[in-house]
Order: sequence, then C-alpha cells, then structure tokens
Amino acid sequence: MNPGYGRAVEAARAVENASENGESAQQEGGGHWVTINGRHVLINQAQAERPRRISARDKAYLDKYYDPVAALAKVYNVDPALVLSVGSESGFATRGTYLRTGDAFGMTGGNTKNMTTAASPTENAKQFFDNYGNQIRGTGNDDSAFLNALQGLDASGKGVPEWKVYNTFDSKGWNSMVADGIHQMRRAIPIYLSQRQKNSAH
Amino acid sequence: MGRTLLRATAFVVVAALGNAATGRPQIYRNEEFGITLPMPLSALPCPEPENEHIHGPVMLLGTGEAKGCSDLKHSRSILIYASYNVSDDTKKLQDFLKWQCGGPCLPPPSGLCVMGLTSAAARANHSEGWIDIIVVTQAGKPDPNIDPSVPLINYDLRLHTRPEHLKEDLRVFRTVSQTIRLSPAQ
Repeated sequence: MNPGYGRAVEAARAVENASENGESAQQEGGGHWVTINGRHVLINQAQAERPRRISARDKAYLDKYYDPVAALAKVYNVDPALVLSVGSESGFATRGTYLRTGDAFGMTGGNTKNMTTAASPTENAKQFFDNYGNQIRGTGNDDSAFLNALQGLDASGKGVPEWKVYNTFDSKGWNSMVADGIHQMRRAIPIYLSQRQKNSAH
Repeated sequence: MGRTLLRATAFVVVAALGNAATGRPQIYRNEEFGITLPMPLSALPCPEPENEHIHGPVMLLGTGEAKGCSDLKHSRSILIYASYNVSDDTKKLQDFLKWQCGGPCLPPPSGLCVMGLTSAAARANHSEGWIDIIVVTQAGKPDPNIDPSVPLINYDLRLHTRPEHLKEDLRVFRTVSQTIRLSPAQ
C-alpha cells in the first residue's frame, strides 16, 4: 500500500475517533480543526499526516506538567502548548540540570550558581509564570508574540526596557529550539488529551 | 548585575590575553552537552552569562571588542548551539538542517563536516547581505522512550558572516568544525 495513502487513512480515522469521543472536527484549508475539552486545536496537514502516537517521553512530561501549566496558562490567557514548549530546554524534563533541580524550563544556569530548584512540577510551573507570566500575558496562541515576550520584546519586536530576557547569549538558537518545541507540543497535546479522555471514560 | 558584567568582561580580557600571551588555544568545555573545543586564536569568545542555560560557545570574528556579542545579528561570528532532540520535525539530520536554514538551504562550501560524526551542511542567505554557513550533526546515546534510532542531542555549528569576509572566516570555521569534539555523557 502507498504509505502516503496509509497516513491519510490514519489521519482521517483520528479525526473520526475525535468525533466519536464527543470532540467535534471540521476541515479548513489543508488542516482540521478539532475541539477537545472545549478547546479548538488546528491540526495542519503535516501534523495530520504523522502517526497519531505520542512518545513515552512526551506522555510522561505531559502527565507531570500539563495540568499545572494549563491551569496557570488559562489565568494568563496563553496557549499551554507554548509554555510547555520551553521544556525543550531539558529534553521535556528528562535531561540536564532538570535531573538535579526539578526545573524543566531552563531557568537554571548551566553551572552550579543561580540554581532554580523546584520540588514539583506545580512549583516549577508557578516559578515560570512568576518570572515571565506578565510578559507573556495575552499572547494566546501567537508563537511569535510568545517568543518575543520571553525575549523581552513586545509583539512588534520592540524591546521593553523593564522586561526580563530569557536567553541573551544566542537568542536565535534559543528561539529556533523553542519554536521546534512548540510544533512538538502542538502535535502531542491533542493526542495526549484524547487518550486521557478515552482512559477516563473506561 | 554590575558585578556579573564586570566578571564577564574580565573573563573576555583574560581569555584574549591568555590566547595572545601563550599562543595556545583556550579550551572551551560544556559538560552538559559534551562539547570540547580549542578556541581559535583569532576568535574572541563572548562572555557567558552566569544566570542562563548555556547551550554552547559563541565567538566573534574580526574584532577585539566584545560589544558585538550583544548584537550577533550584525556581527561576524561562530555560534555553536546544542539542544536535546525533542521534536519529530527535527529528529533526523536532514530535517534538522532544513529547520536550521530557516528558508531555502543552499549548497554549502565543499568539505564541511564534523570529524567522526555524520554531519550535513548548507548555506543560508539572509537580509542585508548576511550569510550563514551551517553544519549540523548529532551525538549521544538514543533514548528508547523517544526514538531508539535518533541520537540524543542536535548540534548546530554556524558561521555568520558577510560575503567580503567569507573566505577568511570560513578558514576559522573549518578549523572549528574539524577540532570540536562532541561526546555527551551517556
């Protein structure tokens, strides 16, 4: 069988499954709008063509961080996927200083000075929003505005003097890494929520 | 903050003097991402902020002044950025290269590679005449919880320069790509 056809069938089935689970779905452009738990998520064609699987790492990360981040993201009117993407700093809570500090968001310096330590994902999410919540407030699902805000810039890219800068050293590299993380979280979260809903229904 | 800046400035001065005085390259090390690099004598290392997660070294070319470190977009530089392999979009080397180009990947100068590792290279042209020469590679034991076929860490080695300096800066960049060692802890 043509693999492209197989992927298309799989994507179509995924959308059908979403509908069966009380999640609505409609097509737009090259993608699908899916509503999960009242939230609209656009799954574009590239995403839809990928297998509807979530890695053990991403599931473990979302098990720990999705709820605490989503609760605060709602208060600050920002897409939780954007905040969760910053976890790419720690390989989504699997690597680096996270293992010593419990900080998944790279707020810890690379050395032993200026450590940010967190006893739990809830505390870690609170630390993130305490530090950057006001800057990212209202960025919604605008990737560019979110990245700008973390880097101390307003939505138009103009520096805001009193704002903190997440990464001053190689901002281009950092932006690229987090943007990559955003794609991954936007792919993983709808699958995660869908699976969670199925599991809780059983 | 003032003290941090002072310390950072002192680091650059000492590094520059050290290089010039001894004629031996300073060795850069990043334990987390397993980076070891003899810093080229002709490059000026940018001071690392103490309160940020450092992903690799940044160095300026063609200058003895560190002020360009705060405006890398307009500074001739070599940047090395390591990050955990987190996304399906970039977990394969060619996909990672495409992502790092941020637009069309153009043919690179010949012979660019990281010694001992599978690597890929491209050129990307940017606004105002700036050019990026990009070499990407991967290292580190794959994590079976993600994908047992892909290395743990992605590395982006990047020369940022202008056409009139490409030849001289490329010489330094080749040395970097040939002398860097990437061996993250397993």
